[in-house]
Amino acid sequence: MSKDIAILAERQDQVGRADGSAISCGRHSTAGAVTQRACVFCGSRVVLYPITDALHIVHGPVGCAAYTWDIRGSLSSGRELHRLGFSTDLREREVVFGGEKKLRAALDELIAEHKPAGAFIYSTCLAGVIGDDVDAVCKAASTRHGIPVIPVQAPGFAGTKITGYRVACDALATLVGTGDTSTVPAGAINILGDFNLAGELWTIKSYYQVMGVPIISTITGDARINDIRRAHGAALNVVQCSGSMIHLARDMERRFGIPYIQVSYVGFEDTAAALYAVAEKLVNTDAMQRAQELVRNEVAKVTPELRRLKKLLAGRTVALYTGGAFKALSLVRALRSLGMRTVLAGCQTGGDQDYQELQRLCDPDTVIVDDITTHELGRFLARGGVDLFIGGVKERPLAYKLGIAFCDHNHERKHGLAGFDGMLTFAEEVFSSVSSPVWKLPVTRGEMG
Amino acid sequence: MIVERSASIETPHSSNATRNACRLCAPLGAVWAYRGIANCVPLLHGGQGCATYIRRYLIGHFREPVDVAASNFSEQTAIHGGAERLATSLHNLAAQYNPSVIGVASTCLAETIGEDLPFLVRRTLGRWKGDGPPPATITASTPSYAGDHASGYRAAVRAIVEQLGGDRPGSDHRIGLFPPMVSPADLRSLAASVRAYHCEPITVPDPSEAFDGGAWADLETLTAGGTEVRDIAAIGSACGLVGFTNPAPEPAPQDLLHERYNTPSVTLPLPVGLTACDQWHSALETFSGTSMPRAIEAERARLLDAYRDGHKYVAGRRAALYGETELILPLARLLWEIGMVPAICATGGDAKGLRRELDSLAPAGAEQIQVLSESDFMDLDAGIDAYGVDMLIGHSRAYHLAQARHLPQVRIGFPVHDRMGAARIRMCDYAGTLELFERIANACIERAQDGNSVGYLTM
Repeated sequence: MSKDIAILAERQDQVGRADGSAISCGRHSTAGAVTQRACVFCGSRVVLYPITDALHIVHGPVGCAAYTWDIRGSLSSGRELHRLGFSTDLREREVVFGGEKKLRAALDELIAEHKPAGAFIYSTCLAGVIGDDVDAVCKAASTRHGIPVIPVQAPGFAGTKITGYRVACDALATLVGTGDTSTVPAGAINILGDFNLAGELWTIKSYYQVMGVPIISTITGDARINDIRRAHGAALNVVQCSGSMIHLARDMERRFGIPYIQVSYVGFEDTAAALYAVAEKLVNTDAMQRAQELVRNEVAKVTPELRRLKKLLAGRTVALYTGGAFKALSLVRALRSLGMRTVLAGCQTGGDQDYQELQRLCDPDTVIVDDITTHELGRFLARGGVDLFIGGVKERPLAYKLGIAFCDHNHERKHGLAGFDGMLTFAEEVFSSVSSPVWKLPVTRGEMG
Repeated sequence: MIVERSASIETPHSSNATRNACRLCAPLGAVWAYRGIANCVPLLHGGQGCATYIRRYLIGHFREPVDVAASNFSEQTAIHGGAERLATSLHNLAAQYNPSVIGVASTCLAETIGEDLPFLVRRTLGRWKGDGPPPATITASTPSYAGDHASGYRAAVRAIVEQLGGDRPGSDHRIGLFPPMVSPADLRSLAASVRAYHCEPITVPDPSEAFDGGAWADLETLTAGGTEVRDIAAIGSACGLVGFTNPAPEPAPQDLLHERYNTPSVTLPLPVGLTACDQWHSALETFSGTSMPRAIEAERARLLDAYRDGHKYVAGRRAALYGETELILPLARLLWEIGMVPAICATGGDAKGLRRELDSLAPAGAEQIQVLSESDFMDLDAGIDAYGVDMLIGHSRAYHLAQARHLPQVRIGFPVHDRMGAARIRMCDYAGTLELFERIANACIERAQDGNSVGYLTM
């Protein structure tokens, strides 16, 4: 396999087949490779981004802030401070003399101007190497203004995107446990790892409402600082996107004895399994009955249309590349329920266990890749035999250039793809691209389509 | 009584922080320039995120694959230096892409830890372990703590001509062009004009194909097009060099080459608007020794005709312009030319040069305009509230300001993420100006029509 797709020597063990040997992962990306990953800063920024009543201030040069201003489709039911891009915009002067003074002034001004419930200060590469004591500036600002001002130590070079997730969880952990839980009802949950893209969190919340399961905080979709502070009052953490949030769930288990379960809301099977698992874990038979009823109703509502689409999509092949591994696993299952076959699956941030599970789940000849390079992806797609590519916007033009349909399952999308309705939207979106007549038009004149 | 006054007033940035930035970082501009060199792959000496964020931005705008590699600093690299990772990167890129050129640009991280990029690249090439000969390289210093995407672009273009430029005996019928970050469609217009005078354009850089390519029959790892290294190596013998007004303090590429090879060179306003296009075509006439072809005369006549047809729809309308100086300047000039007012000119960079140029361009008796220096989109927001405008002209990132006020927005520049066709937005030359003029006029008409139940069969 490696021969026709020209994989760099250093990366040979990061690519394999489902029935092959273990996939090496969790490594720093190869120097000179064009991979889809960003950096530590990116990992922390995307996780904390949807906290809507906090200021998000990038302590670094302008680029890091500009590229992450208003980028996710994370909706808010309240304030929208998260959609603003603040930066200390470090210049040569600060590189020489330090940026603490500028950060202090920026904090005072922005807090007075926006009256946030809290602030996250992201230290980027530059802040990391000029040696600013960001912790001290944050601590002093916190005392001055009476709100949590939380340093996020995220120099881009200090690991990978996964490190960034951990850094974000560390920042969140400083909030959890600082609020009053006296009014929290028994048997309440936290929803971890849903970012309310296109309002998906609201769909999921509606399921738990039907089940009668109270929710304390949602981390971090449509999140509020004060809800996160009370999150330790929960009886259970329900973790989606486990790559980004498992660290916080484990921390809360250790510190507060709160158990957690890992779930996914992509596809029927996984969504239903999530709701059942929550009811079971809470030992709430009433919730279980309601969940079963809800699943019956919701499935019945969308099944006729899904059956129609399945007939049209069955037998098509898919290559998918996601940020986290859990989504990749869910997508393989969801696609299978549409009669579609996954021929390549990979992700940016998978761990050993994730890849083992992916290898178990996929067909034996499915290609499994960690941290794929654009070069490899292009070669895989160009070999033929792929009808649909599922990934992020960065990869989209590559698919289209090669005449392959595309579905965006990344954090910038505008359609909710979670839950039961989301499964139908997903199938419709896949169908809208796969069935387009544009793929049949000849690439060169005179050629038969 | 005549009171001496400046044509513009400068409002400085009003905050200790940058709030919704109106500029991007320098390495992005370098990547843009490098993608305009044939068979060139860009490499950023810095973190993985730098490459990925920049790719994301360029891909979203152009809807084209844009491969950008990073040497991908780790904690160890940040402490001990990136020599080894840079060497590995150059070898790995050569092995994967087989490029003619690798364009290397630094980042804030590399510059701050004091990496000597030209030395490290030279040393790697001297100890080359790859299968074939090493590719040519270009190195540019583009820390993001200094300047913006436009200054990064200029630094890379300067590096390209300084490091790859050369000449050969005699003069030929080639004209060197050094455009700012304009759309692929504009690059094609400029090149077509040169050809109309029976000369061959050498556009440095020319990403018109890389950023606006067709559907592929087969995989293209390095997309087609771009300026050939051999053409840059002979650019000193061109019959003329044309650069465009750039109020930055550093020397322009046409000046560098003129100094080195004595090549005839001229610096013109970017040909947006009738008078600027006239200057451009006069220069082409001079360099080529050919007079303006009839087809272009006809384009010019159509533009003037359209101006006359549409002048009342745009008369006195006030627009906010924002973005880099190289975009604001030609747009302001155009607006004044057609009887509009560039009421607010907001740049994320230092506005000294911009103001100087605007003051010299402003027509006599023109309304004083506001120049926002080092500004962000919250400054622009406040500026629009304070001074009032009828429309916004610029890239997508101000859409929220237009949306909140139900103002029309004419999208142009970079980035245009939220519409199709960013690569085909035109403003250059007579025909490109005509397109932009009609978009602006139609935005005015549409706004009037939307608020009016009377028929618009005749206007």
